[in-house]
Parts: sequence; structure tokens; C-alpha cells
Amino acid sequence: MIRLKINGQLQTLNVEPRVTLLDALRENLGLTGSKKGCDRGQCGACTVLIDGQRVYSCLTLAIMQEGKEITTIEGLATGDNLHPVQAAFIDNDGFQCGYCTPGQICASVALLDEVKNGSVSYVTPDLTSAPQLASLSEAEIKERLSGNLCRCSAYNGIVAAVQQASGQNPPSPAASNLGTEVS
Amino acid sequence: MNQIIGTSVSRKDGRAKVTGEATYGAEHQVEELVHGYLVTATIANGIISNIDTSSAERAPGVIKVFTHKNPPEVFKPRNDFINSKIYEARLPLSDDRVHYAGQIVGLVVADTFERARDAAAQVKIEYETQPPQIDPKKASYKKAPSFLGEDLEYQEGTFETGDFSGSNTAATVEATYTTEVELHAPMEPHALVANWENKDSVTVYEPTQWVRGSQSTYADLFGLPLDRVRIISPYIGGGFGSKAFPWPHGVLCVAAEEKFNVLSKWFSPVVK
Amino acid sequence: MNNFAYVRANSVEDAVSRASQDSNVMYIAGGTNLVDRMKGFLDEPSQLVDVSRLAMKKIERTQEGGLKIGALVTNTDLAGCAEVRSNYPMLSRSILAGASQQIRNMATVGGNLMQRTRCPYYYDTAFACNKRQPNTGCPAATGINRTHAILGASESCVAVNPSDMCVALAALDAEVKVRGVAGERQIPFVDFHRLPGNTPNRDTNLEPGELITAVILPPVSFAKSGVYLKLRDRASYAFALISVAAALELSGEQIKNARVALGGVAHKPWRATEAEEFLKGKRADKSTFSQAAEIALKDAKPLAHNQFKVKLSKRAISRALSVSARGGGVV
Repeated sequence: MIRLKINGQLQTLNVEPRVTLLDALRENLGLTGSKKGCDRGQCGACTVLIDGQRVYSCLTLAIMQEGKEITTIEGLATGDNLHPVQAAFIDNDGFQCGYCTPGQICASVALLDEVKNGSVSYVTPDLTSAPQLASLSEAEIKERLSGNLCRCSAYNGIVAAVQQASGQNPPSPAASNLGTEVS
Repeated sequence: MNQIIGTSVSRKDGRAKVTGEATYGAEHQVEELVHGYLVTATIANGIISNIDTSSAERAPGVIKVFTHKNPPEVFKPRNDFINSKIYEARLPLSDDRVHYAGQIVGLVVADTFERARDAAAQVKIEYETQPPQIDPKKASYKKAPSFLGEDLEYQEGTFETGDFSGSNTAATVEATYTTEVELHAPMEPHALVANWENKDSVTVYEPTQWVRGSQSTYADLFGLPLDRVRIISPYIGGGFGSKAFPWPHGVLCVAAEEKFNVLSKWFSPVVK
Repeated sequence: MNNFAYVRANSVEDAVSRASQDSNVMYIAGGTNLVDRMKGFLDEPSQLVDVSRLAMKKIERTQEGGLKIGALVTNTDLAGCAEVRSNYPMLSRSILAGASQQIRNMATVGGNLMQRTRCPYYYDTAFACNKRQPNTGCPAATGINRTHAILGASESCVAVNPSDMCVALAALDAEVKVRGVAGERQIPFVDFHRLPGNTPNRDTNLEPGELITAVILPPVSFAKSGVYLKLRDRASYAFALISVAAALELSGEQIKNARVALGGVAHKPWRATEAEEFLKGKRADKSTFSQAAEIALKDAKPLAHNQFKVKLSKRAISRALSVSARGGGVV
């Protein structure tokens, strides 16, 4: 028997030690919001938050996460109120098929916290001067979200959603492919 | 009426997709779900000379192991693109031939995903390997006899070469360009759940780009009238053409479930 | 993945004693590489000893003025440590160049040292592999070997070490602190990983049951100028085709001291000591850098598909040294 705290609720489940957190969520707890894409830590669709940090739930064993605070896509909204990142994904059309979306959103929620806490990335010009949310560049957002693939290629919308959630003004989703505004 | 054009409209299913409530094929909850895992060929061309399932069959939680020696029985669908269509005309596990690497050569059904995967790795196969034809220049370009039961025609393209002798070029670049293999690779794997409510009616939870086509194909395969086959596909996690028709693993999933009288199966493809 | 027993270690001693009794017992911490390998049946441990809750999560200053990095410090925490960012930027950037944020949050320093090659033949149990099973053969040597080794390979293995962090640690003369049943010992970083020889099944010089407890970083006065350049098939979240960690100490125009290490070229992080010696006393200019690069690659033996790595490595070394000569930063 293992005990996991998921979205604030303590859950008890009887699974073998080899069961990953992702399979425990999807197959044993009916929490299918976390997606199984590659199941090998390459696509990011299974991203969840553990103690506030984003991780791939397919690459960790459920039994190793006892006592930790696990947050999945199902735990982000407060009642009917979407998390600002969830709302930003809708506003900016940050998806098409939706299968990578829960992972993208969990990753983006963590990304905002990381930047607030002064984290740097491979593309940060000066490692002693962390970027601020209000001026977080497109290059920074792309680098920081590179662990989440989107095969529909909604990347422009995803970057815009993160910009909106960062308090920036993303380009209008009504902009055409040629970059000109349609009004 | 035309005001929709040029305005930004949120997706109708947006909320379901950003909250995790959107339910894709294999996520449908069915009572007493059991799991399947595929055994796939590790050679590109040849014959299975021996397949040993004894250790897999003894593995904990294993319910059944299928190979070409005990294939689930299905009817041959019309496969004419009008009444029905499957990706491979050759029915799964129909003989000991291996036509390509990754071809399904077995299926393990167990009570959990982990146990099915573990047992699938314990199926031991010996092959008589034959060299695969992988060089397009050596291909015959004649009408192929029959590939996976389906007639295919190959045609060599026409090539033209310009005359550069009179041109005054500063440099000449000679290179050979080849086209890379391209795969659909949608984010959502080709996983499905089948549930026979009784002997004469089945529900298949499978992501499909052609719901009616899947319905009539499964009806053909299992000799059922159309209204006895339900396809549930509210969301599809990307398809790019790879989720238009049933695949061999889908056929096996539904067939195994019928033959074996357990409530449902889910087959997750081997990811490499 | 096979089934296995799972046990949470109470202490380093407890962990070491469990793992020393049976060679089928493995340690797990972040699990990002081990769980992946177990899914592919590359490792089938009888027991996993979870060391992730042990108290080895601190970064402390050493008496010598360097850093002692606990083996369980996450890749994220090490890359983000203020002291590392300002004094060892090549280490920070090498970690940030590797994997994705999700992986870096899970992965530990000790685990990063223990990750195994991503050679596709090693990863696919349908192929023979001397690393997986000694004396079965190396299909990569004559197969598709674009990503494989150009230095230090052997007939039995042409795989490369996949780590970015380890390239910087090699350049910085780190040491690895390990604990076994016989006690504690410290291994110089360049001796930690092995060349394949005819035992490619062994990646490191750890004895059975030994557990990494810390990585010791000595003070390196000129490490502030250190850079890390990674070249890969896509801009992010990909293993290096080749990478370079480099740092220069200058006195005016003259090079006093140099560090050069390469990733993606060999079975271990490749320290280019001969090139470093050559650089000492020379003028810091393009011609010197390209001569150093020639020396670093003079023994390169490319395979059928990775000849490009030789030229790519040389140019990357020159570029990394040029940026380091200007004081460092993004290469």
C-alpha cells in the first residue's frame, strides 16, 4: 500500500513498486488529465508538479513520491475559476488537439514560478542577472519550454499564452500567417 | 453572419482540454479493464522459426498470450475504401511471415500494464532471417506481387538533366539529396479500449479520424450489423492521417476481447 | 520493466551495506535515466535502494575555497546556485544546456555522473551490444554511427558519454567522493569515467556497492571566464553532437593557464590536456586557438558517419576559447 497526496487529497493505492507516478494517476486513480505520450521522458505530456516543481511523471516511481505534494492538471483550477495559465492557453489558442496541453500548462505554471524566483536558463546572457517576468524574451520562453513537444505545432499560441500569464501583451491570436492584423 | 471571420474565437472544447477533462480513447473508464502489450518483430524480413511463450504464460497476472499459432479469428473485411478499410490487408498474426521490423508477432494480455509489458519481453522468438530490400535503386519498379495482401504499383519517376556545358559558373556543387523517412508521430499513442457488451454488440473507444469507416470496418471484421458497433472518439490527440483506419493492434484488441470474454483490453504500442 | 523489491535507505551506511551484498541491487535517486533504462529492459535490478531522501543535498564551501556539492543536489539547484553562477559559469551553463527543466528538477549530481550512453544500439535489445552484454559485438562500429565517438574508442565500443555537466566538471578538476563498505575515497574526475577498452560494460571506476556522496570543486581562479558551447541537432532538449567547456587565464594578451574539455566525442568527458599545455604562454589569438584545436583532435579516428565531428570540434574549441578570452558569457 502506498499513500500519495494528490491535489490536496490523500489517496491510498495498492500497486507494485514498478508502477510509475503517471500510470498510478491514470490507471489507478482515474486522473487521466496527465497524458501518456512517449512514456520515456521525451515529450513532456505527463508533466506534473511535485512540491511545486515540474517533473515528468512517467520517469518517476509512484512509491518514491510518498509524502510529497503532487499537483496535476486537475488540481489547478479553483472551482469554476480557471488558473490564469489555463485561461491564457484558451485566450491565445495555445493548442489544437489538446493532448500535450495539460503538460504544457503544468510546465508553464512552474516556469512562471521559476522566473519569479530568479532562475536562469541556457540562453540567459548573464548568469548573474536573471530575467524578469515582464521582460522575459521569446527565446527564454522557448528554451524553458523545450521539454514539452506539441505535434500540432501550436507553439506560437503557447508562447503567447506564457507571455499573457507573465503580464506581457502577446500578439493578437487573430493575426494572420503573414503577421498582419486582421480587424 | 460573417462576423466570425477575422475575429478570435475560443475553441468550443478549450475548457475541457485545459482542465484535463477531455477524455481520449484509452482514457475511458471501463470496469475490470485488462491490459495488452504487443510483441513486435526485431527483424525486417524473414520467418518465425520458433516462438516460445511458456515463460510469458507463466508470468504473474498473465491472462493470455496470442501468436500466429493461436490467432484470434476474424473475417476478412472488404477493405475497398468504401465499405471498410484497414491499414494492413494482411490480418494480424495470420502466419509466420515477417514483412517489416516492428510487425506485430504476438500479444500478451495481463491484469496490469506493467505485467503485460514484462511478460511480452519474455516471449522468445527465433527467426529465419532474410535480407530486407532497403535500397530504392535496387527495387524492381515492376508491379509488386502483393504486399500484405494488397496489390501495389511502383513507378520510377522521370529525371531530366540540364546541359551545363555552355554556362559560365563560378562554382559547381554536386550532391545527392535523399528524402528522409517521415512519420506521423501524433502525441496521443494508438491506444484503445474495446468492450463487448454481449456476444452481438461491441463498443470501441478508439481515436479515429473516420468514425463511420471504423464502425463499418469492425462490423466487417466481426460479422456484425453496423448498428451493433459503436465507436466512441470524442477527442483525438493528433492523427495526421495515421488514425484514419483500424490498425492491426486495434483488430487484435477487439478480437482478443471477444474471444477471451474478459470485459476489455487496452493495447499500448511499444515505444522505442 | 521487471518487478523488484523497493527499499528506502535510512542512511548512507544502510544504503551501502544493502548494495554491497548483491550485485543486482541498484541505487535510485532522481531515476530519470534508470527508470527509462528499466522500461527498456536494459537494467533488471532485483532491488532498488532509494537514496533520494538521504542528507546529501547541500552545497557547502570547502576550507580550500572551493565547493562541496552533495550527491543529491538536483541539477537545477546546482545550476542555479549563486556561487556557481558567478564563479563557475561553465558548470552552470553546461547543466542548463542539458535535458529539460523537468529532468533537471529530478536529476541529481550523483545520478548525472552515472547516466549511461544513449547509443541507439545499446538502447535496443534487438541488437547485440558489448556494453549490455560483453563479447556479443558492437553493431554501431559498422552501423549508423553519426553520434558516436571520434576519440578513445575501441573495437568493442564506440559509444559516447552523454553528460554535459561532466564535461565542465572534468575541465574544472573536480573530485568525486564515494563511500563503500571499505570506507570513503576520493577519485579525480578524469579518472572517474573509463574508456571502453575491452570492458565497455564498465562506465566508471566505482567498485561494486560504492555510492557517490559528493563532488568536490576546487577553487579555480580563472573559472569566471569559463564557457560551455553545445552543438546539437536542434536548439534545445537534445544530446550534444559535440560540446566544449573552456576557460582561459590571461595576463594581458598572454595565456597563463587554460582548460579545455570536450563532450560527445568519447566514452568519457574528454580533457584536452595536450592542447592546454600548448596554450600556456601563447598569445591569445585566433591562430593560437586553431592550433590548439588541431592538437586536441590530432588523434581523432572518425567513423563512417561522424567525420563532421572532427571539424566541428575544432571550430567549437576555437570559438569557445575566443569567447573565454573576452571574459566569458554566451558562446
